Amino acid sequence: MSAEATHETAPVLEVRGLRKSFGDRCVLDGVDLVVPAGSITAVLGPSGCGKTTLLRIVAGFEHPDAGTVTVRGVRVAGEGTDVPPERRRVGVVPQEGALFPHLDVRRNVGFGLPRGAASTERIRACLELVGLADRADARPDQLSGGQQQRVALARALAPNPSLVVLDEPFSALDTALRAKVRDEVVGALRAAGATAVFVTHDQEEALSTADRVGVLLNGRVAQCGEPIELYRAPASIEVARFLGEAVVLPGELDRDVVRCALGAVVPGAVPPGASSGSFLTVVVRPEQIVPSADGVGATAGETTYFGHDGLVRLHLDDGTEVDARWAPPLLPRPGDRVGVRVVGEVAVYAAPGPGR
Amino acid sequence: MSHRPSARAAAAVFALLAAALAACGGSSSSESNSASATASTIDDTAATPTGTITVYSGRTEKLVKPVIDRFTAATGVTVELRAGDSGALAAQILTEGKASPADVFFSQDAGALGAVADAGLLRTLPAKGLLDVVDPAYRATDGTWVGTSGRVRVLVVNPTLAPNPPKTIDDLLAPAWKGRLGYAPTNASWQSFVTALRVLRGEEGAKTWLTAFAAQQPKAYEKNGAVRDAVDKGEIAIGLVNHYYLYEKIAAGGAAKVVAKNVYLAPGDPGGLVNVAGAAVLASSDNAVAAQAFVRFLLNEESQSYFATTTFEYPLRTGVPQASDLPTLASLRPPKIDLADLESIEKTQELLASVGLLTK
Amino acid sequence: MTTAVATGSRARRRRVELPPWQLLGPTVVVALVALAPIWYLVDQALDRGWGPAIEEVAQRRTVDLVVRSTALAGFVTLATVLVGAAAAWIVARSDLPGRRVLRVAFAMPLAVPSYLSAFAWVSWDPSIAGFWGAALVLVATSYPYVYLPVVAALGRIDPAQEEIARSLGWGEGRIAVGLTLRQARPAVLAGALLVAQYAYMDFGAVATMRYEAFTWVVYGAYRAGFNPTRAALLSVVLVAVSIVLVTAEGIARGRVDASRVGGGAARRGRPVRLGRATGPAAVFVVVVLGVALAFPVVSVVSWSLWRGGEAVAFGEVFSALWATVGVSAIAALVTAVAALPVGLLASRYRGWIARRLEQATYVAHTLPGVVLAISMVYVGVRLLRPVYQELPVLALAYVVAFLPLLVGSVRAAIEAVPERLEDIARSLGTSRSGAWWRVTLPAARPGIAAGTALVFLATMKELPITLLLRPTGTETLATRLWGHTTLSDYSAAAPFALTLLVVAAVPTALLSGLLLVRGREDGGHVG
Repeated sequence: MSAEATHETAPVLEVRGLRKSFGDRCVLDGVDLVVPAGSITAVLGPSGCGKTTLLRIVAGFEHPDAGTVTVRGVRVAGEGTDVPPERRRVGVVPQEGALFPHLDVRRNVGFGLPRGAASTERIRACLELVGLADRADARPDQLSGGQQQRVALARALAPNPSLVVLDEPFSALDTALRAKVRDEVVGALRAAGATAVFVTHDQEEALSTADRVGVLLNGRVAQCGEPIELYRAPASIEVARFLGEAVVLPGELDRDVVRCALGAVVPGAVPPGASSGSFLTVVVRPEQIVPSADGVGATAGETTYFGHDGLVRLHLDDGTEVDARWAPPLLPRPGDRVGVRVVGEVAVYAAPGPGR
Repeated sequence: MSHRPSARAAAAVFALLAAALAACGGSSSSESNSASATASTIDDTAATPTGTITVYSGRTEKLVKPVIDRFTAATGVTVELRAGDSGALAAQILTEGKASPADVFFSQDAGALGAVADAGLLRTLPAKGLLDVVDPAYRATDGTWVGTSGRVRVLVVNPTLAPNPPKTIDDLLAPAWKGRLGYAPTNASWQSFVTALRVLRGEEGAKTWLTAFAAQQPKAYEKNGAVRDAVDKGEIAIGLVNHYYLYEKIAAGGAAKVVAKNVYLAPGDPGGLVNVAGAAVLASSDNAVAAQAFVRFLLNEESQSYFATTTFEYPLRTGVPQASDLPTLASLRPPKIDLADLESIEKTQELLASVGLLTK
Repeated sequence: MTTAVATGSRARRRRVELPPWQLLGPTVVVALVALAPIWYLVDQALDRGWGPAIEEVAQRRTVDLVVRSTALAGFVTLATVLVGAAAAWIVARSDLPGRRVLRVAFAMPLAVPSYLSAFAWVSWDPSIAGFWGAALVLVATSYPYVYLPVVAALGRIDPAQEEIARSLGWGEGRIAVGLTLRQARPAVLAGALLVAQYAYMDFGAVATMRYEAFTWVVYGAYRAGFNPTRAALLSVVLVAVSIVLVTAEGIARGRVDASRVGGGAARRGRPVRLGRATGPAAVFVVVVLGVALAFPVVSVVSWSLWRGGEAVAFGEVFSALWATVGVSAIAALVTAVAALPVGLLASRYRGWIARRLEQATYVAHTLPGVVLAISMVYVGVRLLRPVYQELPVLALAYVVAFLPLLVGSVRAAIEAVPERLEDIARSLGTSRSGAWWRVTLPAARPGIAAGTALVFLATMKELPITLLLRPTGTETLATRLWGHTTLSDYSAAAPFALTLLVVAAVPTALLSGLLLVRGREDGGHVG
């Protein structure tokens, strides 16, 4: 649970109605985002969706066409105001660290600080926070990618910014290293009590790391909330599809259940105005489809292994194809007959209209 | 922080600077080229020369330094020497115009002096003791410059290869000499000779001679010294050079070792051109007394003998003898030409280029 | 290799907005100074009015001269691109033994003044004079202008590309020409522009080889014709040529993204094995270094052996050395200061004003030294009389002459520093200009230092400007050398020539060494 401490209820960052176009390409189309103090918020979206642009506007390197940005209650962008980056107190950690090549680690971290004993102490503290106090005299080209990222974070934190924005901070690292560095970075952020926003296209990263996730689709924040909320109750089919595997089926409301190819499923929330007989769209997660002796009949197809589980394609008797995620001991061979049912609540949406 | 003010301010700066330059530029161009009257003569013998003078010298430092040192010892005047190429120095003086820091222009050839005189930048020199110690043929008609030493164009000849050397430049065109002549195409004295040819025989006449000379397939050398050495070694029979090159070689190695001989051309022949090195005082000089004293010093007997014995040139002060082996100037009867007409070598260069005697 | 892809809107984020006041002001001042010769030329060319001016220029002879000079410049540019690029490839990508020595050796011909080299050649064999002699000397003395930037660029290329090309079936040769060198195109173009301008404006080689090119005729108009108007008119034609060259290079460069490729480690690629090509490569090396370096040096040494018993005037040599080094150092520093705002503007800002200002500093580069000298005499006498023929005007003239060399280096060095670093510095509280001062310029230091060394070198060898504008009584190694050779006193000239070559070798080595460091600096860490 994020540290929405009682002494700091005002949000650190408020973005309202942000619009930005490059030429005739509209990148941001009315983005709203609120970042509470002390939280780590992820902005999740596919590549090229404008999340980097959003970050740059917040940091002050781009000017929005419309909308406002407010940091700690002070308007910094929009409606006539344009506070330059050097006065916004927004720290930046870019995709590849981007340490100043001509300075050693200590001077990199101390770049935003005035000279003096207090600064020396602060530098040391920040380096300790990221676990690199012993590399203070190294030069950037002597450090690994992960180490450079951590120094970049220490550098951004040193002047005690209101907000730290990170641009796909872990995507430049090898997979093996990624999780470790991520944990270290998040740990440092929390230990510092910093408020952070990071953008990523990696859902696993966003969902596992952040306190709140905003999904940026088509230039807008489609949904913003806690990860589990987003996963279980995505606000729209696009969000559902984006946030993990989704099995989308047509269904019909029948009092308090929805009937679909996978049998009767329990909806989490019924769209307003729907009544028995309404056509709905059902979204089921693959891990919700479990083997069941008296479930819907299906023939197993190919399985894709992921090590810790596998995704098996099932051909239901009525012709529908769905993917189910099962642990390895349960995975069938192609051609096996299985019965399946759905556990847990599913998300339902109004059907877009006849003849989909 | 909007950007509009920057644009306006930048435009203002542009406009200001452009205006400033236009104002400065407009007034300057007419200065240097008008041939206004030269400053009136002053009598430098009345006053004692003091202070400092700047000498632009087209003659090398090695040659001029001893004279300068003696001048300074005799008068106490400090001399700042700026050595360079006579033509380039003249161009510099012309560009500097009235603001030139030069007091004296000591040139290797008369053409450069003439060019500066034409621009009205020289002071008329006093006749008494200065101009009148030199034959009128070797000084400016308006008294703005005076020759200090002379050189004669000769044929340097290998006696074995050319027992009966030609005496006129037209004789050089005889078939017997095909492929056996040498010259230095970029040499200023050779180009002065060709300029004199243009003056004496007209453009057409000069072109005719040059075309025929080119048909003789003369060998080209970098410098006159190389021509002389080639004649001495027997590579070529005849070379067109200045008279003193032979004597330089003799002085260096001894007469016994030198085979080549100088042949002086017939009286009045263009090939026997006498050109002079000379000096002038700038009208804008702020120390004209000392400057004139320096020119006077160049013409005194000691300096004149120095030129005669060091470089084997002809001293131009009447009464000072040339080096012992040389025939007297009077006996040579060089072609009559106003040295000021030798000013524009550029047209000569174009002519030479067009007949293939200059560039490749 | 992940982040080689630059996201679309960020790929070329040079601002189209107007540069800030603090940058625009100094750049405008520098550009105006660089245009001073143009001011003089136009003034002088129109001295007698438009009518005679047009008549003078519109002659058959002018066209002939343009053709002759262009033929020479064209051939020399082509040849230097081939020689320079080949030399760079051999040093950076092949496995020829002795590459480390060659890396510096190939740059050494920069230390040899063109008049010295031409003189050595024509003394040995006078028949070499003419087009081919001039071309030989010009190629020999100027190919390093292509070699140096290309070898630096090759050091930054991602070797993964070559490996991929090989997996797609490309042969080594095709890769070398079609891929590797192609990537270095901006460097080649920048070097080619400098060479082309040099070929148009060099006087020493052309005059010694008696090839009737523009510079010789212009020089003749000054010192033989005393016709500065004609000289100015011809020079204006040269300026027009220069504008064409600069525009062409700008267009050619504009199509290629000059920024660094690859955001991560630029590891060293495996050298290409030459195999049977080792023989020809070795021959190439010997021929190039022999012609460009060994021959002039040996000639000069042999001159000193003619001396016999005559004592060397050590005092003169030393004072000339002192003057040369002092003046060159000052010139290099002042030029560097002048080039910084221009280079910064050119690399960080797009837009009409920024491009024109940068090009303004290049325009006067085709002018022969004598023209620059005379124009600075003109400007100096009229605007700066108190310091005329003193160090300030001399230094100013060098700045005008050599600014293009430094602006190019500064621009390239700054372009290699990602703008992102400036953004981050701003996020840490520094203003934009503060970020340039604290981050961009220090990060670009090696490239800037290399450019400064180049100007230092060029000033040491320089002749016509020095002759006309030096303080009376001051002699440099070059002016002394020239003074003695005009008298054919080679043995007296030799000590000055030798000293000049030895001293010039120092900044040349520094130059190539700095580029060596640069090649390594960009890639250090591993994944």
